[in-house]
Amino acid sequence: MLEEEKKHIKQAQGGNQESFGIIYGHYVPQIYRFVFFKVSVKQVAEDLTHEIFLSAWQNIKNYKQKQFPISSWLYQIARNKVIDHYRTDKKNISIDTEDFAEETLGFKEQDNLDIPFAINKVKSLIKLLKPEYQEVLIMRYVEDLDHKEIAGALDKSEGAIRLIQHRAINILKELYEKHRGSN
Amino acid sequence: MKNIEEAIKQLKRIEPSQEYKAHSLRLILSSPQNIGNGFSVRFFEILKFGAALSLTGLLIVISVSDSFSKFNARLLSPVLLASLDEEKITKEAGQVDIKITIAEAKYYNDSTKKVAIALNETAKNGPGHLNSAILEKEIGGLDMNGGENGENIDELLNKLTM
Repeated sequence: MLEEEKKHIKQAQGGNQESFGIIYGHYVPQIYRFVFFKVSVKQVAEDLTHEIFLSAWQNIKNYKQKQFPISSWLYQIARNKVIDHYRTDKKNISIDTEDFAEETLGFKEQDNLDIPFAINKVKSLIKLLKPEYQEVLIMRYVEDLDHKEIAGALDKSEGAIRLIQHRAINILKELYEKHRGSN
Repeated sequence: MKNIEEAIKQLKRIEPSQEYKAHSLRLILSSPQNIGNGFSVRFFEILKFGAALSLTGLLIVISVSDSFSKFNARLLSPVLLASLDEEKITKEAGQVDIKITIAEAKYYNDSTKKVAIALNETAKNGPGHLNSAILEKEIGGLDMNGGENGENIDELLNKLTM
């Protein structure tokens, strides 16, 4: 996809809708997942994902391919949108906190998602981690991004990303064992 | 679950619906793109900067020139408004000139007499007679309205006022 992607990016920068559609189709699932892990509410995740790609379409001319991959650029937009969402919408914070508490304690299954109970369990455990650790785990293991891409998205060095990943996975393992033992 | 990493990978199953994706993309593509920072934008930025620079230069030149200073003072300084009437200023300046000329003429007239008397006395009696009190007394005795010097002053005044 790399060479093809470069071509599509260039065409999208020139206003080609079809090319942007291809980029959108390729990246929307992972950006949606990233946002969903952050906000925990399907409707909010959909709205924010829409805003992220709208922003990407409107500003794609400002994206420079030489700096970092487009995935990193999209994650940067996503992170900013999520931060803005929590800054401006206090109501959503309280709802998310409630959802988070329920999931953490009882591993409550989401009604609006058709995913198995075990996945919800892992998702709940990930939410116990620091936001930065969550982001690295999601990008690395869910989205299969390489360290360079993650470093670009989080504006950190590759070494720092490796370290965060190592710590995050260890903490998650501990949490998993602890919860498995208690159940 | 064999290990936690495998479990995390299972989260990939979370995806937005096809209907949502199609609807969202349609809405996104219907909105216009922003102008990027490509060549055209850079060109316009340079153009804008150049225009701003030229206008600033022009403004400085205008503000420095006399005409603009007067215009500016007239517009911006209400205190100076009354005194900046061109006709009045010209008239006042003319009057001042005349007064100065009359004063100068009077001075030259008086000093000419003094010098003439002093020279006359010096020629007759030597420099010992140059007493200012005596000179003043002698000047007082002279006819100020008539004589050669008085006529000269009138002529001079006529020339100046014409």
